[in-house]
Amino acid sequence: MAGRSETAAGQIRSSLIESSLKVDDALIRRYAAMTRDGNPLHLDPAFAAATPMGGIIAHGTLLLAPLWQALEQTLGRERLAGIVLDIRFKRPVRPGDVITAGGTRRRDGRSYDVWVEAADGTRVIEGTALSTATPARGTVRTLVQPRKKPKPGSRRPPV
Amino acid sequence: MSAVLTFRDFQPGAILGRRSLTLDRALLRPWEDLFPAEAPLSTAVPAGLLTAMMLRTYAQLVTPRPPGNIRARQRFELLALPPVGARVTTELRCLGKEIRNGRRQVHFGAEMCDRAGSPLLIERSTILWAA
Repeated sequence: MAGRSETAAGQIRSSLIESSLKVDDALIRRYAAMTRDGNPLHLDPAFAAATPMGGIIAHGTLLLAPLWQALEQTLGRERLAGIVLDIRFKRPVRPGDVITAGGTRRRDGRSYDVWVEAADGTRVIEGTALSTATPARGTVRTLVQPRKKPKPGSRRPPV
Repeated sequence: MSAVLTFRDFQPGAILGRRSLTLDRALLRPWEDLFPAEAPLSTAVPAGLLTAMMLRTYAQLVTPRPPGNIRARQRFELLALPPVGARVTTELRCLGKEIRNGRRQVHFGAEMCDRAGSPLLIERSTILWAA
């Protein structure tokens, strides 16, 4: 049986299974309490309104939760170890926003361009997720190293 | 001394401290409340929660912070997911600081290890410092 990260044909998925999150004031407050991050930019409407953000915004790391979930749903928990996730925060997310995390496989076959976007398609996070885990034979390896055509007269099988 | 940590206070290379915590039920329950789809957590701790715990360690060690800091960039290297109930220790250091495009940027590095000292999660982050 193919793992979560593989299609029936044995290739890794071309896109991540998307994961969404509804961001609201209660979620932000509870996340702030759990992380002990009481930055008023997340909690104090008057303070936040006076900043260039123009109002309350969610914690950046809170927005990563659906991205981790998308990676785990797609790759499986056992393949999550070995992931290098490198992201930039592009836009703020505000209470009331619904965000969706996803990604598309890169040409190297072992990494994804990842993103988190708002309902209108605006990217709020962009980056890459690289799998450093040893690829299984016939899955990632096949994609990284395309078959070479054998030279005429060569007896060696293609790598 | 300033009432809050300012850009000038950071010394590149300095260790800012370390904190240990146990990933027990009391700590997992709020996460399950936030993300019911991941409940009940019974085996490995989800990556999102580890990320949140790194933020918690940062918030405890780098204080008092000026209001209005903004996270600009983050890089995680996830090496292993610890089991529920594991004791983990995170060390935080200042990797550097710079002014770029007129904005103060402070670079932090954190490493979370298990009880045996094996790394679980390595993080690099850049924060736009407000003061």
